[in-house]
Amino acid sequence: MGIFDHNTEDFTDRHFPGQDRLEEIVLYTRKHPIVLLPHVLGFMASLIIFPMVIYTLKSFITEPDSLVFPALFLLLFAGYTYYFHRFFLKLFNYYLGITILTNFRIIQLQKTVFFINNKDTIDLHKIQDLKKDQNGLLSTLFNYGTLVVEVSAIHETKCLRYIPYPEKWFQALNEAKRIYIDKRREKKIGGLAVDEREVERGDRQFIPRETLHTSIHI
Amino acid sequence: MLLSTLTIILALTSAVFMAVTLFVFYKYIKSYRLPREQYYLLLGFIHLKWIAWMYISFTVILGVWTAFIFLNK
Repeated sequence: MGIFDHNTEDFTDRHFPGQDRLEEIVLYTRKHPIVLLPHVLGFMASLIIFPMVIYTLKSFITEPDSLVFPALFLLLFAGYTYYFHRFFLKLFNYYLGITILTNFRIIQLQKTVFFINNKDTIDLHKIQDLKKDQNGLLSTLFNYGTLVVEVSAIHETKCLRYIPYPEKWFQALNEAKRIYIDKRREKKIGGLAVDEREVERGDRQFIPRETLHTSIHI
Repeated sequence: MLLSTLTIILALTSAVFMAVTLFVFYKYIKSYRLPREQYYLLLGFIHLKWIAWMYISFTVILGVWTAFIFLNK
């Protein structure tokens, strides 16, 4: 099925909140797992450090009726409880933060379990320029990068950071943008100038030249 | 006595928070399921449910260990 097949299937809110009726997901991704690395290393270290601190404290405080150890333990336990809940929340928030490429737009869902529910969208026809940045040893080794999208209306750049397989996304974005613009142009001049399947493949040679040069503002 | 009570309350609050977090999280992801054909596991092999079970286990184990520390002081 081509991504612009307008059949009767209704995609409203199917895969993400705010999904349009005819909007289909082309690609989606979370950030590269390397963003979790500092938190995972910190958590693993805490699994060793916390019990060591508790047992060291216990060995130092030898008076049986002393309230020092229980008080200190309560404080440390409260602190560690907050820390490990925060760590797991970070993991779940990682799963909820998604970048989606659909047949109409790019959507960045910035969602957390409790506090944040933001959405940033860029319509494909508003993309003026697209750049892929993959600098540094880690990004080259682990294949992630930044896609810099220049939006024409506001002359602003939006960065999609830590995108895994950035080359695949770069190509998919360019293709989706090209197909979307062709489709909009085709609709604006009224009726199909070419076979719809050829437009979906981005095969521009079948679009009549006089059609391309009409002064339609997209 | 007071400190023991506070520690128990803290452990119970931790368990309740864990339950609420998992409930809210799974409610959202079940409402908005992403396309299966593109779904991939974290690092290629880590299932989301493993993380959820790790969370539950860790909360319970920490609570039990805390009780053990207090009983053996």
